Amino acid sequence: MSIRVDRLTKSFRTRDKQEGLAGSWRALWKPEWRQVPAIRDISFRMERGEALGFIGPNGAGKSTTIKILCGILHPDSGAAEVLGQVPWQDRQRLCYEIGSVFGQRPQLWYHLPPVDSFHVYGAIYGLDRDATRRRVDFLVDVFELQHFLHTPVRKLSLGQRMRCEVAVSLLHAPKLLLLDEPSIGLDIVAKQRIRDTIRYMRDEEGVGVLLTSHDAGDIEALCSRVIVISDGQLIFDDTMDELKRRHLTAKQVNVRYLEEGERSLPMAGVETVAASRYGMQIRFDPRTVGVDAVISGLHGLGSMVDITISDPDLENIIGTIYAENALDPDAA
Amino acid sequence: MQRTLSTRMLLNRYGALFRMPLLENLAEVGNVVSAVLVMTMFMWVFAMLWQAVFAAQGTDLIAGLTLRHTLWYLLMAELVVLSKPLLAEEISDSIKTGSIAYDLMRPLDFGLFHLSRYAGHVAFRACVNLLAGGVVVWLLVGPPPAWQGLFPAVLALMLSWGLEFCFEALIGLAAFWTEDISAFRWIHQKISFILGGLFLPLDFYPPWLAAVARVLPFASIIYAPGRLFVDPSADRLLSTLALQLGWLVVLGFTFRLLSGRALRRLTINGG
Repeated sequence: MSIRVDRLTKSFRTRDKQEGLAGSWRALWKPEWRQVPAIRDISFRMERGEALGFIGPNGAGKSTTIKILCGILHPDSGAAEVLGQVPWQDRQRLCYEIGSVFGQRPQLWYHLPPVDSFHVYGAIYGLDRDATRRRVDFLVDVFELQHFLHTPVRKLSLGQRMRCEVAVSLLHAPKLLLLDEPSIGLDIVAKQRIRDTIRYMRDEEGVGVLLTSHDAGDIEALCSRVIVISDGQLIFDDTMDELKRRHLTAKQVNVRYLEEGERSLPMAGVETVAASRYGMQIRFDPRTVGVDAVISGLHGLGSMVDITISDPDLENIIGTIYAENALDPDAA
Repeated sequence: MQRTLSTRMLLNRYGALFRMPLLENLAEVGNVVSAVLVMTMFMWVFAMLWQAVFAAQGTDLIAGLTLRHTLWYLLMAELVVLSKPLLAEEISDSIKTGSIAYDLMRPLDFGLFHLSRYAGHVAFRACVNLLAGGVVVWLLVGPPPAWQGLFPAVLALMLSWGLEFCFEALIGLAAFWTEDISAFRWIHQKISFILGGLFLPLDFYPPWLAAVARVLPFASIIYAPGRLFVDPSADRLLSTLALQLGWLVVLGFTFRLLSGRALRRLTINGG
């Protein structure tokens, strides 16, 4: 077992202040403290070598959970074990087993070329010079860093920098890699490249990956299982296929017509998402409305020049899960 | 992965961190050039000022110091202040932005991590500043009054930066309890400048003030190395180093205590 989390709960104490000068004055003399729950009763498992997607909107409790798993935060209650160790008791030992990339907090020295950062991290993790060199050679090869290994980090493109960031996080051959938004701001080619190399390292070295990302494509490309957290609570924990099966209930149809006109399809169970002069986008649940009926209904509205039927992408599915959860805050 | 590190590996680890600011300084030559300009300008202004003062007094000796003594003393005092990095800001920024949490995910001791980087920066900047300021002072008033003061001064300088590290780190850690540390920085800086003797040697102060200032840690940081450099008597060497070591124990212990508390506060309360 790579990660075992049981009924983890953590809240923070914050000070509230009413608006204006009077509020500030009152807060000075009579501060109002409030306990804000960050995560509530979270439990999940992650097997060794598994790639687990960890998603949730901003403020859902993702980074609190990750900080607890790294041993940086103590939970209020509950238990957790990472690679057989209790993180907040064995943080220093656990450091050697975990690699991390926090997309918005660079770990490379900005004014120096990546190769210097590689060597300093080698020394930090207790690798000798030869071992560091061998490992750097291997990672340079896998991540294709040859051409900019000696260029100062500030002169690298974001894609090149992120490849170096992920590579340096794997320098000490960790058993678990924590990736927080590794593809933020990258173009599609750079994203694909990062995903490919992470997948390669997962298969090659059996390193487990806990991936947090707002980019549904990252999760889809890398993870076989996904957990969704919202408002501090776990609202989904299952395989990627199950996520799609359970929430991939709607079909989306885009249609374009030859002639201009105002059109609508007044059928029960069919929702018009968008309409323009030449076309429209509708959504329906094929379990309640027949595909035949919808197509012939659309056909009856004019002469079609193009039609596509698609499943909603993961981003929409996640959006639906969040929305459902927001409607029913006790849903788990 | 090895978990019990040998002394050699620990030296490698913190040695590598010490080396990084050296490399950074070499990569950013523009910053180094501007530091050299500041040092050169300061020493030139000091030289003009004190030449005028000595001339106006119509004497070669003020409070037992010649113009040459005074300027070499001031060079050492400036060296202490101008060669250090902005550690307090660095620590307080890492607390405010939360990036301190990620520093803690490394197998590093919080104090030694900052100390090794601080030392690397100081080592490089001090050499450059000493060279730049030394050339100016030498050209204007001649060589140092006592070459045998160099080694004791280097020893005292290392202890003085150790003390300054503790002060700055403590001010940086204050960000755990208060939003803005600039007031602490401001107070520390001004008290250091005045009671440390940055603009004139403490010997020129009224005797009662000089006597008080000499035993305070600010003098151990700014006054001690320069005064030892121009007058390296055995008595002065012993008393200076003893006082510096004493303060280092006090401030080092305070830093350990408070950093331990602050980090516990972070891990338990989330900062």
